Amino acid sequence: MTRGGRIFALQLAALALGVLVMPLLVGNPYYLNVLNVMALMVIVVTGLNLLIGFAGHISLGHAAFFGLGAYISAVLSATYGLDPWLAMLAAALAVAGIALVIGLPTLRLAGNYLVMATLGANLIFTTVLLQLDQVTGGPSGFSGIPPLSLFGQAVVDDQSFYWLVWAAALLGLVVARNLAQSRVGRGLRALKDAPAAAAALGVDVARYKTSIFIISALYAGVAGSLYAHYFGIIAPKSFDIFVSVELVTMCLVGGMGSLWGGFLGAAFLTPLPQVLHVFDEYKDIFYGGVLLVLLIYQPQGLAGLWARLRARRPLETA
Amino acid sequence: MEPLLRVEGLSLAFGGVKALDGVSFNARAGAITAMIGPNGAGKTTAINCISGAYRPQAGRVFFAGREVTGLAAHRLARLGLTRTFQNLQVFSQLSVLENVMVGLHAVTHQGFASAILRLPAMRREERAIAEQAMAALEDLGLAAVAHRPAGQLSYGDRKRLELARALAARPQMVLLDEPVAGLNAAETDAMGQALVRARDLGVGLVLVEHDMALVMKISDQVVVLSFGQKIAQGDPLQVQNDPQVLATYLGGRQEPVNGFAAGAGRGPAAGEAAHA
Repeated sequence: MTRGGRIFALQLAALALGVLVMPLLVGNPYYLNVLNVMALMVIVVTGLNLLIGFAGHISLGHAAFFGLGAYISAVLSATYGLDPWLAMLAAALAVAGIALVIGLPTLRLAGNYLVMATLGANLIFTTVLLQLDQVTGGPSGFSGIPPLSLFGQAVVDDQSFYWLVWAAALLGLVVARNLAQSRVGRGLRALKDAPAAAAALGVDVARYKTSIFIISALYAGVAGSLYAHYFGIIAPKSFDIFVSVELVTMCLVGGMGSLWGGFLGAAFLTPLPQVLHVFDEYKDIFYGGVLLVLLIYQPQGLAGLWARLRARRPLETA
Repeated sequence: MEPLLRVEGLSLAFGGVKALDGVSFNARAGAITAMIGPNGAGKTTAINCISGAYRPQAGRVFFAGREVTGLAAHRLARLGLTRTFQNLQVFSQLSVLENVMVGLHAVTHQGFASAILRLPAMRREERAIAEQAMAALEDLGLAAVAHRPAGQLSYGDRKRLELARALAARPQMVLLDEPVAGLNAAETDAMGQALVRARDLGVGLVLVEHDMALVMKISDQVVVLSFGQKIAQGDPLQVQNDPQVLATYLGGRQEPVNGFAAGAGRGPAAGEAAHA
């Protein structure tokens, strides 16, 4: 195993240990609920970070992919009685297809057309959710979504969903890391650095960008399905463009393009509003203030802090 | 015998400027074909048209017996045709070794699924890629800096890295856009030797270069462009004594000049270095 591989294995083991002992430390089920939402965000933001880190493109529509996963899963399982796992699979396939349709034309072009395309897609998605109320329940949302079941047991309570969602989050991190440490990952990083040179060496730039965009959307879609089957009720407001912006903010705070950036950003920003609740009506000012200070003094994000501390040690770099 | 690269009547205009106007030439495997000409003659445009970066408005390109006109760069790479760039295109965020590993992309196969699942076949291929890349670095004397970020290398080392990366996959042909621009005499000499070694291994090289001393020393064939048109072609000696070439370079003097290489070569080369 390489040195980088060992470091990742250690970090992952530490996180897994943290996930194992956390339920022992929190007695209040409300905190467990926050941790579950955090894991969902870790999945979405890790996926988004793959796109930003590998292709150098930003998506302002990841909340729509999150929502597509949630609504397709919900409608198929609640309205049409499909098994939730099968509904989740169908939702994932649909999300991949929609990402392909958005990515194929925009990612062939030089320049950041993907931002506009994804932003537009998210606005359209919200409108469809609101207007197609016979299918989606409209602004009041969609309820009565059946839970997933595992080994014949429904995953309804916070505790059992906790295990499921954090296992999914850890798996998401492993997949991201596997992609990074591979031929295709190298090709992706190369095309972000110098696309013309990457192409001249055999990297199919448009196909690679589209593929990583689809994978990135899949992370969001799967998280959305998990979300829907966990809460049992979903509403359009959870998937609008402001949520998309929030997801990009999590990337930014955690560390754009860093493997752990998605985890750090989601872990830091998900509970922050709850913590800032003590400031009552001033909480938005504090939220903005925290972001401002972080981005001014730590533009590389929380993941960059680690690199900065290591760099400060003398004789560390050969 | 059919030459490895055959270019026929290549034309491309940018607005009213004819960058290329019916340029034809051949380049053989295991030979160095130099393309020279004053700034703006269309040399880099020709490389861009052949390598798939630009699509020519007229003319055709044949490589290894098939037409490849307008074929995307990554497809040409899989056919064994790659290139280097005038303004360095090193992947600065990747390590030196990883740069060369990307150079093996065209001849390796493991895709997204096997990467995500980390299949044994993928790990085997990764090891082979790393070994072959390391060998390519050793060939160019860069093994000692293999694990450094490529962005930290000196200019000369980055030039060498680009060559190592282009040669790693054992391509049939490499198009080199000014491989020694901005290098000092010793570095130029070493680069020239590396090019000759690659040629002797059977790689066809097409070289755009302003350093006339180097061009005349290592080329098997020289193609001279001026204002988008080919004005001469032949071995270095023929080209040096071609009246039209002399007129183009020296401004109308018709008699052959001894030491053309040293005299005419310095001017453009020095000017290019200042740009870099």
